[in-house]
Formats: sequence, C-alpha cells, structure tokens
Amino acid sequence: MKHFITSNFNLMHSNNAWDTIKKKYNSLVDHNFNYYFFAIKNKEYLKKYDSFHVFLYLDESNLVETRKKILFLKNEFKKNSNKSYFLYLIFDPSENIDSRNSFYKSFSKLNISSRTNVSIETINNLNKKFFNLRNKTILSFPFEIDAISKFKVNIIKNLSYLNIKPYKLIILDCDNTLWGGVLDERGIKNIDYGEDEIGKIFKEFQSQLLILKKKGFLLSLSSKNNSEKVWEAMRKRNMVLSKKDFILPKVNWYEKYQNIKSTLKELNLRAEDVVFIDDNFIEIKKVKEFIKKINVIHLNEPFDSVKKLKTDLRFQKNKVLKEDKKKLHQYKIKSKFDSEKQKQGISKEFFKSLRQKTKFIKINKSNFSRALQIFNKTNQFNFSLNRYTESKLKKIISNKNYKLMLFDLKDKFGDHGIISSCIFEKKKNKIFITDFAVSCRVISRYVEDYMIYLIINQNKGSKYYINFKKSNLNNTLIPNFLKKNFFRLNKKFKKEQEYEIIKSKELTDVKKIF
Amino acid sequence: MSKKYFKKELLKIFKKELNIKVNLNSKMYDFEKWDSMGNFNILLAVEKLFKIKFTSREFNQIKSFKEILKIVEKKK
Repeated sequence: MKHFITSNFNLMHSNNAWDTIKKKYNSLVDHNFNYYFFAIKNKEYLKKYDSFHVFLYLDESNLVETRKKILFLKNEFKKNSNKSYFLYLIFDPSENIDSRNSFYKSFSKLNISSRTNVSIETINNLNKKFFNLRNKTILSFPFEIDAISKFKVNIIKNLSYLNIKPYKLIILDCDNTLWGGVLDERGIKNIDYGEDEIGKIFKEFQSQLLILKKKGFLLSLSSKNNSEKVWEAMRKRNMVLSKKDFILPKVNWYEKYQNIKSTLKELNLRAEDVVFIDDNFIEIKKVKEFIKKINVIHLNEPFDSVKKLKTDLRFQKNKVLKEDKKKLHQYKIKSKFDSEKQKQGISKEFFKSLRQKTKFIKINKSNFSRALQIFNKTNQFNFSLNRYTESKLKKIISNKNYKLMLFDLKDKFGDHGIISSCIFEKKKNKIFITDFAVSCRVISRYVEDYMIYLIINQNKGSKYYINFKKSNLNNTLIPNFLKKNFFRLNKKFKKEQEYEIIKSKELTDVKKIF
Repeated sequence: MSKKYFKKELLKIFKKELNIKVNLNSKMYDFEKWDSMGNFNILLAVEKLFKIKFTSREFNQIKSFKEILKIVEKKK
C-alpha cells in the first residue's frame, strides 16, 4: 500500500521528521497543497496510492476558501470510493467555536462526513504552545517543530486502520442494549428511549448502529423477547432502528448461542467476523462458551455504549466497495432462497426453477477491485487461498501465460453481482486452474459445478487441472466438492493436491439446470 | 558551557541535518544543501538541542556559522 500525504502549509522536512512515515509506510510527503488536488483528479496518481492524507490549518484568512476547495472534490471522493481520504483539521486558536461549527456543518450538509471512505478529524487538545507565529510567517509552518510528531501519530493510527478487517455482522440484544429496561416488565410506554437523559443514550447508540449499517455492516438481533412486541415497541416509540434494518432477527426464547449459530450458518459467516453485543454478562459467557471464536462486547454501563463502538477498530471502515453496499440486499436474497429451499426440498427441478444465469466476465478497471476482494476475502471456497496485492494481481493479468476470469450470477430473486474469480495458467495444451474462489453466499446450488463446466468448455482441445491447497480455512466445502466424479486426483504433495477435470456425464448434466 | 562545546555540537547538527562538513568560516550557500530551507532546518535543530528560541529577526538574519555560534553563546 502506498500513501500520499500533504498539507496546506509547509510540511517541514526538518530533523528528518518524516523519514519513518516515508520509509516504513511507503508514503510520499509533498508540501505542495495544489498537488493534492492534482493527484486526486489525475488517474495516474490515483492508481498509485491507496490513501490520501491532507492536513488543513484553518484560520480566518483561509477558512472559506479551503472549504470551497475541499467541497469541490466531493465528486472525486464519491467516484473513487475504494480509496481512502483523510482530512485532518487544525484550527488556529484564535478561531472561535462558531466558525468551527459552521465549517463542520457545511461538510455534513453535503454529506461528506457520512461517507466511509472520507474521514474528517480535528487534531484536538492543542494548547497555545503548539502554535508558533514566527514559524508561520517565516517558514509558513504555523506550529512548533514538535507538532510534526503529533501529526505523525494521527497518520499512523489511520494507516493501521486500513489493515484491519472490519466486522461483517453485529448481533444485538434488545433489553438494556437498544433501550433501557426490560420490555416485558415495563411495557412499551415505559422503557427508556429518546426523551430523558438515559433514553437519549440509547437513541444515540441506535443512531450509531444505523450509520454502521449504512457503511455496509449487517445488523441482526438475538433477544429473549416476544418478537411482535419488539417490532411494536420500535414502531410506537419511533425508534431509529426498525424491523427492516435487521437481517434474520432471532427474537424468541431459545438459547442465544443456538440462535446465533443458526444465523451464522444461514449467512455463511465465520464467527471471527461477527460481534455479539449484550448487557448481560451471563449471556455473553454462554455464547462465548459455545461459539469460541465470536467477538463479544459487554455493555455494563449504558453511558459507555457509544464509546465502545467508536473505540473498537473493527467498527471502522475506510473503504466502500459497491459490492459492500449491495451486501444486505444480497443476503436477503439468499435468505429468501434458503427458505424456499427448505419448503421445496433440494431437487434439480428446484434449482432449475430459480432461473439461475451465470456467465464469464472479463476483467477490467471497474471490476478489478472486486476480483481483488474475492481472492483476499473468501476463505471457505477458495482453492489456493493465495492473497494478492493490487500490483501482484496486475502483473498476473498482464502476463500472457495467465488469464483471469470472473463470473456473475443472476436468479429470479435478483442480481448477485460478481461472485467468483479464477486464474488459469497455460502450459502447452494443459491448462491449470491455479486460483478459484467463489463467494460463500452462492455455494451449494450447482453454480460452482456449472462454472467448472464453463471453464473446461472454453478450449476443447486442452486438458484442465485444478490445484487445491488445503488449510484450516478451506477444509470443509472444497473436499466435499472434490468428491464429485468429474475430479480425479492426479498428484499429491503434502497439503497440495492436483486434480484432473474430466468431462463426465454428471458435469455435462449440470448445464440443464442453467 | 564553553565555546568549544557549542562549536562541536553545531558541527554535529550540520552533519546530521544536511550531511555537510562545515568550518568556522562557512556561510550559507557555500554548500548546495545549505540553502534557505537548509538554513531553517539548522536553526530549528539548534533551537531544539539548546532549548533556546531565536526571534523572527534573528531567524531572518543568521546566515553563517559564526553568527549562529555567537547567538547561541549569548542566549545560553
């Protein structure tokens, strides 16, 4: 990853201050503010860097103009949402609170700050000693030289966020988590929500959760309650969150760990990517005992609840992929699919009735980041588990002996988007599938079989082989899949296996489903 | 603290900041790296090491090794 750092003042290169950032974090530190605009608008530069950082020193003389300039970039921020933008504001101590607030307001009006790939933060807790008028006039650096170390702390913090894997699903309790008090005991009218001091905290907590949902986190419930009453309470008390915000909510009297286990299974998520939030320590302990790898947050003090969301780095998301935004929709499609599957039982007729359509898609600029995401994020149905950096994948694409292909999927419930990515290596008349990864949402509906069918029918004169590197991340779905009669073990070396793909009748029959 | 000590430390600063070897008679622009920007870096490093502050006037006027030495001696 590479980063671009600049400011609207002179970023002093004194005392080799920026060396660590430059070397260790692979960053370019440029003190020409205009280059910030140039870099963000220039495709060549955009390609090169993953995140853009700018320090803005704001006083009366430049406040209005800077605001205009930044807002001018709004569309650029939006267009390149797979890049992260960080704005660090430093207000001159002479600036009063009013002008600061109006500065913020103008951003929120244009909805910049609610975008996940744009993060605006103020460098706080500055005393007057932080600023230096002499340095401002002579060096156009308005601070003491030590200020650089403070700037560096802020950048390093954010750079480390970029490498953190955000949670995928947030499972919430209701009583004393989404509102104060026990709904069943107090009744809808008397639970704490909204008006008074304590009620406001719960309202704020829900607002924060809604923001997370908009950023692409999934929300679910696991609560011992009467489900109708819960929805009624949300409706009647006009809560920020409502029924439609939750995916597979489990409001019943079963054990929570059972509910959570089934939710994870239905959504095909790993416990490591899920966080469970509850105020009851016994429930937390129980869930943790039965689902060891799940993350838990114990809300023992309502006043801390919002803080807990803000301090846990895994609630941070500094990039948005289009696919992320569609995720809730897609999981909903999947849960519809599952309920239909249960009703009808699994027969080939059933899969036929889904009207599934899968086709090849060539790699291009617009779907590159999705291809990258599939290789780096899928575990359970990923044959090689090779992880790629942008540049490594680009190298493979440009190599003549390799070919990268994507697949999408549509069915009667909707468009699932790009769901699979694979890499072939040609060696004379043999073709090796070195990488094959399929999003877990769509596994076990013959899509993976059909993709194999499509792949081997591309070039009829060639023999096709597929490699499987076994590890503890991909040791259930794939070994089962490889038992099908169109795979024949060819070579085995430690944990690596090579299978030949054979045009069996079973494989050709798959075509009839699609 | 003696003049000798200040001189030794100043030479070290030039070496560390700009990677140049100066002497008592060196002036700004004698070296490619000792330009206005380099000069600022030296002065800031001097401030930091000796825990002194140059005034704006001094900041603009100091342009030689001798001048730096003189003011450091005066302020320390």
